[in-house]
Amino acid sequence: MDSPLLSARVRRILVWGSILTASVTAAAVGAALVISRSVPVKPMRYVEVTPVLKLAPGERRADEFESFCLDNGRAAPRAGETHTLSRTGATGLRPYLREVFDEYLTHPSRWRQGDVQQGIWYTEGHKRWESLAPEQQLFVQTAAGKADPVRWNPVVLLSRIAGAFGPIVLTNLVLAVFALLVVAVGTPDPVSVVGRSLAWIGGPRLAQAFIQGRWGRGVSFLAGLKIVSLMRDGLEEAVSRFVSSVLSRRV
Amino acid sequence: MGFKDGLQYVASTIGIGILGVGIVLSAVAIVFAFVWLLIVAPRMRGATIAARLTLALAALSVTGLYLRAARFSGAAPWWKIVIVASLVLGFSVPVLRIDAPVDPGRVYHRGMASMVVVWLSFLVLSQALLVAGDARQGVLLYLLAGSSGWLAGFSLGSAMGQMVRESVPVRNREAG
Repeated sequence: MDSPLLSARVRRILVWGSILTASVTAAAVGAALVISRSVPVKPMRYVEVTPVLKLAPGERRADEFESFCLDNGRAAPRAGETHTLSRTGATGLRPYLREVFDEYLTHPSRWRQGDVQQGIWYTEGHKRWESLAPEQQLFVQTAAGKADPVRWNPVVLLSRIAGAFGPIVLTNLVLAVFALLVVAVGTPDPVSVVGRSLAWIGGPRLAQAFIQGRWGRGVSFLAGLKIVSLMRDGLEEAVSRFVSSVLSRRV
Repeated sequence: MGFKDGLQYVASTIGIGILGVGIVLSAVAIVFAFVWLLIVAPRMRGATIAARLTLALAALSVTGLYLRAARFSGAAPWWKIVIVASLVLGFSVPVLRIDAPVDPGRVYHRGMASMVVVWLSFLVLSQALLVAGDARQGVLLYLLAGSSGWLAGFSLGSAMGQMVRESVPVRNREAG
């Protein structure tokens, strides 16, 4: 028997959705366990050689730091721009960044700052291995334990794809939603407009299937919503009255 | 490799798949958005404030969202000023031409169609260049900002102009 709040179909979707989510999560955790057991963890040695900086509340101290840029795409800082010393999540999120810093901090006299900077930018995934100088390649290889480590690394690959396609995907999906709203608000029969576009792109059969199917009913539902009709008619009338009253006052 | 790193590795692999679906969906979405706007925008008869307002909002918010992307950081620093200036210009042109004779039987506004085509062409071209790895497209980004501001302004200005034109005979009737 259907509950008054949830129909049988919605309950079925919820149950199967939960099962699917739980299965994917369990599979991901299992795969992560297997991967983490099979690849040895490289111990971080920088904590043994780097002095710990401790400040009492209200204490002021002048210290000199060597700093590196983590994001090659950002504009260079302007002269006199204030810097804040804070913890960064990048070392935990970007593969091989921790290893690169560990190598430099444990052997600071062995590597040049410029080579380290190139190595850091390489971990972003935008630089090709071949474009690095031999010393830079040696530095990254020593830190990561292998040559060209970020190639085909899924974390870096995702970050690269998201960097290139993320704004495009977001923009296009938002544009499609707005265009559908323009259709729903701007035409008396939005289903026929969407159907016509489908007929142009995929042929009349697709258009027919859309008009008679649940997607067509969805668009009709959207166009028939009270808020949409209020926007369409109420706003028109309100602005029209406002313009008329302004004009009549001026005469 | 620690468990957290391993989980990140697996989650990223799933993320690549999800993003792949998003890329395909967005490619389909822009084609449909292009066609829908081309069908509806030039055929808006009368004032239709809500539809024109939504069109203006679409042009401004989509362009704003796109130009705010981290990849374009510093590429077109004056884009907001360009949008506002072109919005004011686009609004002024139809408002200043209120007294110009209008064909009452016209159902298709070719100017509006070309504005939509120009704006979306700049957007698609810029996206193609971004995918090709060229994020330093200053002139194109300014053209995109300008065309979207002009479209939004023209859309609102023509609605306002039409509304004023429609209310004048009523006012004259009341006065007579």
